[in-house]
Amino acid sequence: MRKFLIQHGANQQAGLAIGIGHTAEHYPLCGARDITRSSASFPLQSDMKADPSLITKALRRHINETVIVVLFLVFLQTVSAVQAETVLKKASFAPQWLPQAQFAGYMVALEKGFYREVGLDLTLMVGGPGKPPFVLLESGEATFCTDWLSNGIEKRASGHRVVNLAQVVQRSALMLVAKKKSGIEHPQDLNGKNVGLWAGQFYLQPMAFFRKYDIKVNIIPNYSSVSIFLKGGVDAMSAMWYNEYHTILNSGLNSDDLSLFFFSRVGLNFPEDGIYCLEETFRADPGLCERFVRASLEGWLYAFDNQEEAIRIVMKHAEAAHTGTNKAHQRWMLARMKDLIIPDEDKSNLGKLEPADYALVADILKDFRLIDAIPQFEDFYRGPR
Amino acid sequence: MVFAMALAYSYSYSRTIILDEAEKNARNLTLSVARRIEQEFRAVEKLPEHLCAFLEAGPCDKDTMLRLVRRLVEENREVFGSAVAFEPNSFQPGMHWYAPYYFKSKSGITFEQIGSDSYDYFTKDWYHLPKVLKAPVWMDPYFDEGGGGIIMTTYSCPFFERGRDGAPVNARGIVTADVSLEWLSNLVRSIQVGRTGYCFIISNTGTFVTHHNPPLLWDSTCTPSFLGPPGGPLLGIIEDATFKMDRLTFSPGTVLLAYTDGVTEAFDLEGKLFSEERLREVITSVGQKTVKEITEVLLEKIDSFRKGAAQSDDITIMALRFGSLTSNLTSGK
Repeated sequence: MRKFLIQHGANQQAGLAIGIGHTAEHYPLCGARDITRSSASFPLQSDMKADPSLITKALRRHINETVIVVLFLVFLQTVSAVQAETVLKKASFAPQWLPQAQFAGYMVALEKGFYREVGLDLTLMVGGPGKPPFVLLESGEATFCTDWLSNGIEKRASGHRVVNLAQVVQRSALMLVAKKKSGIEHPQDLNGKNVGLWAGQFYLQPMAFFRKYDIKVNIIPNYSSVSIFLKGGVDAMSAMWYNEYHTILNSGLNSDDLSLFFFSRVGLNFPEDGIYCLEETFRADPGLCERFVRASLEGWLYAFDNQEEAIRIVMKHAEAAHTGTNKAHQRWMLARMKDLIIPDEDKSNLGKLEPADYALVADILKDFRLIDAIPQFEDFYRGPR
Repeated sequence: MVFAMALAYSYSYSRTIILDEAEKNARNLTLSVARRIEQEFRAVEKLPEHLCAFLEAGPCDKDTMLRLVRRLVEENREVFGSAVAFEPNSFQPGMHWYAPYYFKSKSGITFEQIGSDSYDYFTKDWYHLPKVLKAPVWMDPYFDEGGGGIIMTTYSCPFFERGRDGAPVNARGIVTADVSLEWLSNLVRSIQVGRTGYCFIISNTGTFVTHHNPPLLWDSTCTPSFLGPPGGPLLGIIEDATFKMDRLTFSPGTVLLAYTDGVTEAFDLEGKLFSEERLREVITSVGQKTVKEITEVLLEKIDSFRKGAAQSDDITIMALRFGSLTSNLTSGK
């Protein structure tokens, strides 16, 4: 017994570097004073008489407390380590347009703290006209941005070292809207008609559409409103399903009065908004990029499951930017974004860029001589597989 | 039984006649009101159309053109402002933007050159639509930050180089006449339709241009004026309708008074309406009092106007004054 106690005493002393005071209290009989005095020895007075059951109980308590102390020490060390790791990393994000439900996922992720949870101190910039997102990336004002896949490929092909971290919008929302009373019900009915088109990246799909159906139209430049269509200045115009189409409906036209031509349904599905950064940003910290994407996608899923809350968050940002929008319109927009980001509610491809989609867009860009060569998919896309 | 049936038939027939007559009267009155408004709008339309004809007729020196635009604004009370906006290089080679604009401001007739990188007027509806339509067009109401900085509607008229047959060949520019919504609101409010009827103007895209019961706004430096609406569909009639929102910036001391029909449509014993003009007169005389006193005085004035006539509609009045952040909100100021 004594030998046993000595052994235990030695062990206990080694383990009781902090808990000695406590331990001593729990050892009414077993040379407690000796324990507190020395860590080297456990002088057990052989003439001490101890009740074995008491000793066992006391030992058990001793062991428990030792374990508690050790665990506490380990916990302290872990906390310190974690704190050292999660000093938040600053990053900024530039959406490609004004605050609206098109960017609800990012606003929600910010509001709900998803970015902080992954260690990001994110600044959400205000997008809009005159703020091209890739320019903000290259100037260093933005760490991440969104833009259309076609724009991203063009940028990469022209030597700008941008990479796609995630393809958020899987389906194209761009469409042509025509009034049935103009005699337009099928693509061929557009022949010879006046069609209002937006410039830049919005030009490509309509031009590919006209070529596909061998249609010749009179192209009228269109800018920021749908008035030219409503007042009969054009027979058809380009519109985004989640935005201008809803504005047209709210101007007194019924969906029955309109002919809709969705490019996504005629083999011209150009995925739109994706998340981008500079290649050097990705190389320097791929973990940062992955965490930003993960938190953003989580924001989108939360927004789709909690749409009214998401709308409130979107409206807060929209009102701060004086966009003049309203909840009804944002509600429509968010519902359409869900259709575009998780088509058919299939989340398995959330955020992924499919090589086939990439090839479709790149081929047409090359066909229209907007790029000379198609960048390698692996160089361009660094997102989820 | 026979008598009861005869009575019921007579009642039903009389009711139908009365309703038919009321509808006919309302229809005639509406047509008459519409024609009167049409006359006012036609008078505004003539102004830029004449200026366009002048610009198409032959070369025009800059000073003459500027004088004409200024006179158009000065001499026509309905016109808030007017611009002549040219196509690139059309006024002068190498001049991308040239758009002189005169408008009425507190300091008189003010001149500005609109057209810059931050205000590319070629992309604005008031320029683009008439150019594409090759015809004059009224705009839906909008807030023009680059122009007069107010809510307005605009009549835009294109002018062209014309071919020998007179057909428009190349657009040279657009002449505009801006009409502030206050003028329109005053016009519509001046029209009385029966005892309690009112007029409103709605655009062909469903936007309400003007309506009755506009709030009154004033501060210590100006007399109360009616606030023009941003325009939009009626609340609650279109599912998922899009509404425009407007913002006002209040300086300390600004007061906003909102009220219901029962105020302006209170009748006296002779059937006269309290009216918006009388409301404005009352508020002008008490506008610097506390909001509590303003509402109490207004209610007293309505009561004394009615002279015992039955209340015609619900009366709700809300007056709010923007004070400093440290003012006591319970003081009634």
